Amino acid sequence: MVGEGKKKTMTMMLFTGPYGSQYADHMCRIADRALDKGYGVQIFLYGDGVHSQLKGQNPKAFFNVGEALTKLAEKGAVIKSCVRCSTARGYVEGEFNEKEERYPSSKTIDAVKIYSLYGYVEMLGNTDKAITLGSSN
Amino acid sequence: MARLTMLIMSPPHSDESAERMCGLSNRALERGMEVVVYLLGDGVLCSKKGQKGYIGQNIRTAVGKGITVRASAKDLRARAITADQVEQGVEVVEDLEGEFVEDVMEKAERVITW
Repeated sequence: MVGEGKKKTMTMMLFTGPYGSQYADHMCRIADRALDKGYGVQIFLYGDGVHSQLKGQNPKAFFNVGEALTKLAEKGAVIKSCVRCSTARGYVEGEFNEKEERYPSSKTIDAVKIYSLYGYVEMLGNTDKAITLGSSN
Repeated sequence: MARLTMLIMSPPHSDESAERMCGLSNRALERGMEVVVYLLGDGVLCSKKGQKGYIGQNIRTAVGKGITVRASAKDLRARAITADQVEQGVEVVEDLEGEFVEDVMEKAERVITW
């Protein structure tokens, strides 16, 4: 458990999309337990991992990753996705919005901010431990 | 003693992840590191008793050599694997994600995910 003082933070980078494998599911479950234990959580979606930000996910039998990310953000997780990966997959609809600190998209959930890869670098500069999910092959 | 924590989420025979995990955990142990392996999702299939070949042999001997192996009870149940079908010495843990988080944040010096 985390006591008084600065909150320890875990950063996770997700490389795979939801439903093709369980990596996104595992990431959400680990993040949820970390938040419950009082740790800070930062998540960066990269490569096909950005598909987890899609609005309106409606899996019939699987864990809903979009809803899980929304709940994690409500509990305090900071979640960003790569703008280059998001652009390649058709999510980005304009230039960076300085006020909202995100690239605009009507296709993504509010919980995830599309951002440059520097967003991940900033996360690494403000983390105690970092792990990756879905990148071993 | 330096502590290496590993998380494996992929099955034992579909790709090389489990094999790499076994090889690396053995080498780390030989060099004096404390090694803890967490099996999550399809990773729990690595703990199933009676597997032939490299993975089965390694999981059977890992615990005896001092490697801690923990498997998610929830993910074992999801795959209809009962406690008596798990290799002896593997710890079956209900809140594997929570234990993994505490290990990573409070104990481990290095963390590898597969």
